[in-house]
Amino acid sequence: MLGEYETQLIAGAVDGELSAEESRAASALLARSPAAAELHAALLRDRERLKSIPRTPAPASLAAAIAEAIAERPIIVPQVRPARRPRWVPAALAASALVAVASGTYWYVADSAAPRLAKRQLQQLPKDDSQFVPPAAPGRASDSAGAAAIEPAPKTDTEPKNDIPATAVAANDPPTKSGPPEPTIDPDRILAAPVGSDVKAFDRVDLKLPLLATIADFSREDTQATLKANLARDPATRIDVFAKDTGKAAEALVASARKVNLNIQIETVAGERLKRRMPSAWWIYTESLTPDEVAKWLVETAAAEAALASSSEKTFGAIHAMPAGAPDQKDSISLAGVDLAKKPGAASAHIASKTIDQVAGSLLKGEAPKPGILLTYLPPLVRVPPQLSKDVKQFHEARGDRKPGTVPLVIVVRPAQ
Amino acid sequence: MNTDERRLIAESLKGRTEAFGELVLRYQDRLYHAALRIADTPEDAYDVVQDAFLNAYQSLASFKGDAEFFTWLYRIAFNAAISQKRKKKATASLDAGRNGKPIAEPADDSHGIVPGETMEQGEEEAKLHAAIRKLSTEHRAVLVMKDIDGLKYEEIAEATGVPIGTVRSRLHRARIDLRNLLEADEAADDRSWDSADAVHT
Repeated sequence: MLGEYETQLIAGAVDGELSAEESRAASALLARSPAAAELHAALLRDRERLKSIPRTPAPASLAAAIAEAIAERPIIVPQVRPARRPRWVPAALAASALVAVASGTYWYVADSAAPRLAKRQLQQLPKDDSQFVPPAAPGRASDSAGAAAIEPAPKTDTEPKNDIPATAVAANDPPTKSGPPEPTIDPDRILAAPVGSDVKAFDRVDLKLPLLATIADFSREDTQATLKANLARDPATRIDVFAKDTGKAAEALVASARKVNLNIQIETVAGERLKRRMPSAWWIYTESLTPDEVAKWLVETAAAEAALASSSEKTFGAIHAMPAGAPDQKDSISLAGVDLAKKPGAASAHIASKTIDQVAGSLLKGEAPKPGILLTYLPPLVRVPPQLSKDVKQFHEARGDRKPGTVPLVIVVRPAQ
Repeated sequence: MNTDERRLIAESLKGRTEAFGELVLRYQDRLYHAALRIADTPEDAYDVVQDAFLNAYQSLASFKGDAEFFTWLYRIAFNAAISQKRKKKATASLDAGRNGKPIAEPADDSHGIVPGETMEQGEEEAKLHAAIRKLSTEHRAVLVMKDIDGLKYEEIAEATGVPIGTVRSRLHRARIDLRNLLEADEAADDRSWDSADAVHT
């Protein structure tokens, strides 16, 4: 009778995937055990029977049925969801620190207040009563040692047999001087900082909440002001635009960009997918606009959306503006070779390039269009690397150095859920 | 993955459905042949292959290219076969609950036999197929992948989404179970021959 290990070894040999050591063990087993050899031969026969089953071709209708079904189903492009640190983390850290400090302070004050109070009372006693031994707080070695240094008064026969020492009674009597001890201000006993004290308050936690709005909200001045403030505050900003039809929304953004003299170049694959109305998420980048111009761009987009006749034509949903983070930086580099953290190049721009800009500007008798680019998210396997993309190269040539006052901006057009 | 496949995938992603059609033509026979052994009936195999290609097309953007395209396709087909099996099971138990009798027909062992084969070959294959069908779907799949499609442990692990150790132990179990089933069948044949001889004598 073969055991589990033996049959596994034989099956592995039939699979042809034994290690060198296992092969030696299998050979030895087959040599010594007729039952193992018999099973091995039978399994090999079964394998050959399976292999010899004639191939059955797929029915002729299968390919046509698949082609027909595919025509009705689009490829689902996975949404890129950059992992972000939850925004409550800084607040939670600050709260933890506050609790830790408060607990520590409480423990220290609660633990040391009693012996120190007793010591202070002792100092206020007349010299004759200085034999009073303050009770030591448990676990406070230094205080116990200090207390031990004061020897208790020797007992005399005349003293009443009483557990309460006379010194203790004296200590509780009204002091011979006058009035209660002066109130003291002991900073160690301050649990919380009083108003106007020198104790520093905890640093303020600055939460940068994203701007949540609809496209229609950008016709309002307060939304525009908030957006401008956010854009000016952060080194780079990402605006998520949720849309019923992402292609339509991307086209609307490209069209309204022209009203702020922004020429968004559409990358070839993205253009092809837009043309075929293939569902995708779109990535738009520019670093040539000031916060005012970005706000104006969205105002123009809002106006175009508002001008649409029916609500079924409207496509824009929620809009989130937030500081661009590390995932956005990674996406920007891999999609378009753009470094969001790059500072404006004005300081480093040499005179010749500025002069060329000025001359070119004056020759054109008007401001040259500002560059932007639109790409789509494709899996890395089929994505054209930015350094090999003609469109991305053209964009980089057109963008030059970032002008002061402009802000790097990523707009991601995503399908609304 | 070769450059041609890469190109076809890239073109499919750009919206050229003809490119995906080329992939279908390239792999449909191989996948269908495997599906015939994993699924219960040719109709089920047809559905499994069709679903596999459709799902592959829709998920093409998520194919990272770190495995062979066929292995990836195989994985989708395997999952489709498993889920089809579950659905059928659920439907059968639901129907059984309604009238007290299972509606599902008993397995017809003649499915999958190619017409035109000799009687002996046909019988031999039918017995083999009947025995395979008695294995669990997981055991069937690894056996088909290994012996019919010649995949390695690593590729089978990739296709079935289980560790290599599990593939190895499933194959071991599948081979032993299949052997026992075929032996039992051979023994039954011997008994029927003996009884036939007894009747004649």
